[in-house]
Amino acid sequence: MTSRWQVARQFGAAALVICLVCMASWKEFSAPIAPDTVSPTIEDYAELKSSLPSHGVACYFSDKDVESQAALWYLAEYTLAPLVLRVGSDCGWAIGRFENPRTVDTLDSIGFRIERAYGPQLLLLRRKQP
Amino acid sequence: MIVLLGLLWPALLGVLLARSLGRGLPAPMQVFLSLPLGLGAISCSLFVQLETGLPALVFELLVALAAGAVCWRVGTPPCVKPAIKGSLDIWIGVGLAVTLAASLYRFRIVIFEAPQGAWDAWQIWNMHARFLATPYWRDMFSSEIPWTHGDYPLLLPGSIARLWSLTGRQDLDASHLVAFLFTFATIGLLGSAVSALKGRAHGMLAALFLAATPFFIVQGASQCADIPLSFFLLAVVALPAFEEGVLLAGLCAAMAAWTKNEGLLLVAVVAPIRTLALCLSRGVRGASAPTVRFLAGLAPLLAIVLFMRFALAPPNDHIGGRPLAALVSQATDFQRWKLVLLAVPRGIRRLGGLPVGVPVLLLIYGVLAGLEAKCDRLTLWTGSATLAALLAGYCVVCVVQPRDIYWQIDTALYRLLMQLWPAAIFLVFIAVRPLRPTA
Repeated sequence: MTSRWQVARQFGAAALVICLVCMASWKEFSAPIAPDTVSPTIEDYAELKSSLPSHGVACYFSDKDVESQAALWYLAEYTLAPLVLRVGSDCGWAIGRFENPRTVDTLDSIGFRIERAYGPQLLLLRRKQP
Repeated sequence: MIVLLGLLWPALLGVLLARSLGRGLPAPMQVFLSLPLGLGAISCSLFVQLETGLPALVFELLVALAAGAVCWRVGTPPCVKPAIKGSLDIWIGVGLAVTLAASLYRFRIVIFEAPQGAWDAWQIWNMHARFLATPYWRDMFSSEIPWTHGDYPLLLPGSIARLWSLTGRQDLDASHLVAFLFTFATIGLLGSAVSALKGRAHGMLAALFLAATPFFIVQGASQCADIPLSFFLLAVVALPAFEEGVLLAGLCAAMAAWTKNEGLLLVAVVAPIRTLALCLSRGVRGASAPTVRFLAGLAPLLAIVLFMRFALAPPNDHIGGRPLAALVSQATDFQRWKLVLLAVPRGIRRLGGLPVGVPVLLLIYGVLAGLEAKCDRLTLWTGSATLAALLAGYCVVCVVQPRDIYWQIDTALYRLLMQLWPAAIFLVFIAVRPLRPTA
């Protein structure tokens, strides 16, 4: 009886392992493939890299609340490191990320000029000489 | 391809470290320990170079010469002949091969979907690697970018940055390869450690349970530091089961602290737990030699970790630099404790990413296999107490940390549990009987 029970338990354990292998393999092989959403943003910022200082501090500002779109700021920092990107507009160089095209008109009032535009939303800005 | 050539140097360093500090350990364990140890060594050498100006290669050559001298002086232990394969081994081997193939496929898919890594990977680990690859690395501690957690340890970003300097190319291949090595070395170390203690079939089953945990593979491919930490935690729990592995266990504890802040908690709990357990089982005299060996492995690298942590890095945003009153107020908030303590068992039940939690399947397997009467109780109880203490520590940090607790539980719970998972599988397989008695 003990021996039969022992055999039954071993068969049970083996069946469990077979189930585990089948479930895990099915799960892994059937996983849907999602698109890479991060790399395109990084590629946008990578174009800025050659125009900015390689290190030090530059500014980052947006017409939206930066904290609510933190990923865009973080990705800019990731791409441009070791340059440190500070939220604000008191640096010699700045990256502007604007959803509203009219925001560009206000840059003059805060002392910046557009150095180069990288598409409609991403601008490299430089402080105007006094 | 170039990154594979760059990997030869840390591989050589790792082999020398594993053979010199872990001489007498079974050869498969040494193999799976080698590359992670080598990556840990090159990350340290890079930090020494950045901090002192001494070229990393000099530090690495010193380590290689010292480890090589020990290997040469002591010689190579005789190889143990592998047991003859039975039909059970073959069937379990087939199951393991299928599961590993599925895991490799999923790993590749995750890398394809997110080549920069998961959010934490690019925001913290890969970002730090970019700073460490330049002379302006101290700027990563800047208070302007606190969200990148400048206080986090440097094993993962340091090894990536050093691989970049070895290959002369700053690309994503290095971080992908490091993620791959840690993920599959953890499976290999688990399988080889259980094999050495309980037989080949049992070892392959242990490896199978880990490889069949989809979330483990996804987390490994995410390029975050949780799986590297789980590797070193497994090593700290498993290596003391071998008399020859205690020194290396100490080094792996320090490597864990050099990987993530949770590793510092590991060091804080494992040293007293091991010492106490040894004193209770062998008496104070019997405990002194293994304790000294463990501390000798731990101390040198821990000194570097503590220097980085307290002399350079900003305070940790979970606990450090916050007023005591705020910490006490959150620590005594019953509602926060309730949320965390209910989330943990729920997380364990669902852990793994399968319709049934893999821990549940492991528990059923343990019940079916039955407990081993003559298991290594010291390893079992020391390891269990270490995991329990770590889990308790994670709960405390989760309760007192300043962020929204729902968000914290959602984003961190499964990651933290996954850190403990390989070591937990090891302990279960140590405690239960093999499917058939070992020869």
